[in-house]
Amino acid sequence: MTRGLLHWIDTRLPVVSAARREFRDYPMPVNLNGFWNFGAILTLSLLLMLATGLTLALTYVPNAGLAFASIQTIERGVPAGWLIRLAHQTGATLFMGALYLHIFRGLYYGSYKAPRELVWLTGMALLACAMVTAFAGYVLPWGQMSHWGADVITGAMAGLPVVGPTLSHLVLGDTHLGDVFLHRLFVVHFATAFAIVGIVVVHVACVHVAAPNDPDGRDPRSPRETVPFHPYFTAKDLFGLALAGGVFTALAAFAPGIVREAANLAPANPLRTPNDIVPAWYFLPFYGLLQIVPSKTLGLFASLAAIVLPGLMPWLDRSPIRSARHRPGFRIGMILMAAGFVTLGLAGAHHLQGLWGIAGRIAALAYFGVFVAVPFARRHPS
Amino acid sequence: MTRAPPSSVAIPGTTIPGMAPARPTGNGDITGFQRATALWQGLRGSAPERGARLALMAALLAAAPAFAAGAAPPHQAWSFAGPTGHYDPATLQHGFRIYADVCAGCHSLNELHFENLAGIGLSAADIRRIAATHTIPDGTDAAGQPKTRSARPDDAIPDPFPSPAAAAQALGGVPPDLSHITMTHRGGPDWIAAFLTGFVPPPPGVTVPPGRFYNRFLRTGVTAMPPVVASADDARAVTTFLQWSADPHLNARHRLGYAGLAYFAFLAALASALKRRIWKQPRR
Ligand code: HEC
Repeated sequence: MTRGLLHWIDTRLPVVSAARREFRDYPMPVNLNGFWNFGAILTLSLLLMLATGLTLALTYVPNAGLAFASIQTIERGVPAGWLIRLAHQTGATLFMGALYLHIFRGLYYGSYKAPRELVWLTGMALLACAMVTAFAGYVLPWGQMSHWGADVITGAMAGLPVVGPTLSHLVLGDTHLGDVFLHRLFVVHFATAFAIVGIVVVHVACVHVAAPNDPDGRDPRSPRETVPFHPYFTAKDLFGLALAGGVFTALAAFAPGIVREAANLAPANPLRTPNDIVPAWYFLPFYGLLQIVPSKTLGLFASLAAIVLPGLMPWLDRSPIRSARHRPGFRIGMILMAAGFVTLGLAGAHHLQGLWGIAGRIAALAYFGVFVAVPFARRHPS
Repeated sequence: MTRAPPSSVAIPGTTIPGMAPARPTGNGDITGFQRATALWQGLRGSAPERGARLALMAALLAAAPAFAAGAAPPHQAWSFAGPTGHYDPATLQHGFRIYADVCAGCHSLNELHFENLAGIGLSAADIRRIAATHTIPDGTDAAGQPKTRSARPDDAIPDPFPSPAAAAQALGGVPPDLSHITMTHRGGPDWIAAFLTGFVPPPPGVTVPPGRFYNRFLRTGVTAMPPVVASADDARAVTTFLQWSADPHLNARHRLGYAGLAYFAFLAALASALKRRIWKQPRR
């Protein structure tokens, strides 16, 4: 019966045979390691975000006077509303964490190199969309941190040369952060979230056309070096997903302080600046950069560069060897870059106080230094 | 929703979310600004004047820390702390009684509806009875006159004052809403419990204006809130109740957390076994 129906559909629109070809029989390199689990984890997190997000939007009110109260209704009035919101907040952390690791995997094993440049560019576009979505989402509850975090970002944006005032007018739609701004960010939150779904489709198509990279960075030489996606990688992904589920549960239940901000439980008050404005953890490295660079505008440029530079890797890195496994110097560079990124975040969280000021500056140099050094790396190893 | 005290001046960097802003003048307390002004003036004028001013300034600065900084609250063991944290209904109900009998006269608990009290173990009948003791505004009648009715379980717990201005008028300060106070106030539950029992006679040389009270856990030393909590036990109970108000789903969250971890550990074990079996098979 199902078989007949599937056949009927497939003869009219060959989606069933395409799905079999791309997700069941698809040849995968045998030697993929655990780093290759993050694609599946990201896909599932994205579905979780869409499901919980759409549910929250049924009650949320994008209005400066009502947003905070509508979140309280979700937390205290709607059955299991608090659980859905907690899953959405934890999902954001899981998604951004998995995305950073997924991107690091791509850098480390040279997954950006030809013929996978489009895989890489769609991935970086996805990161940019995810960051906009996360920022907009953080603003929606309209608590103190929402308001003052938005104040920092829109302030830096308004300071941009030439486009600043226009951009600021476009986003704020008013002289201050209020109703119009909040409503626009709500629309942005939705639009970019669904844009991510679209980008993921293109991203996966690019991966399947170019074939996946592997930890050795050399394409499988014969069919004997590949296995079909199902059951080999469905089983492996299931294991990865179970571990990710464990991390998700532990964060949500026992460390909610990481995925949500207590200070945001005070309603937005434009007259009262909080002592300490700290963004969500996944923005901390960029927040660190904003603090290190003395001018707001240059700080914003530095943050942009921190995302754009990895995006340019296919053209910065000219070595024919893909994987850091076979490039000792590059390996050190990648570890330096990752350590720099993490240290920048810690320095940002500590407002560059004490030794964090020095550590943050060294980390920034290390992070950007790697991208400057990469074009000079030896092209032809001995 | 916002409860900005209408008469206060916002000074960036000196205020804390959820905390009433420090009043810069008129209380007899010395603010950072006044100390800085004293410092500046001490450096001007003739030599003897300067000497006298500097001496005064030194005295001010020396006296300042003990009096303006506020004591650090002692760390307490709370039932809700840590990964096994939970609330127990008896403490929550004790805390609610203190809130209802004492705090509710001045402070709002804006985010709570009467029916939410089921979360501290009150029965539906109890909740109906408690709600019915409150009278709330109910629109206007045909003649345009404001009407009232007794509250129902699905109503929000009403504010004790019609407006923050009215509260300030009556009390000399705006009592903050307590719905999330343990999570938004610097120092958290430790500070709240310490503050409630931290009213002591002022140190020598400090005069507390009428209608103000000295509390050793405040940075400014004085507050418009009177000492109203009788015992440390009551302070702990009401603080636990307020923590529940800020984070009401802790018990369920921890229960689900352990169940979820067990589930995913089991799933991971199964998936790992499955994966190993599949990868051992001869490849097609
Ligand atoms: C007689 C009225 C009154 C009662 C009763 C009362 N308060 Fe207050 N409370 C105030 C006022 C007024 C303020 C604001 C003080 C100020 O700004 O100087 C305040 C402030 C506070 C603060 C914030 C302190 C700070 O400076 O950050 C907390 C916490 C607090 N009250 C808790 C409670 C609790 C808990 C109870 C019940 C046990 C309670 N209050 C009972 C009037 C009251």
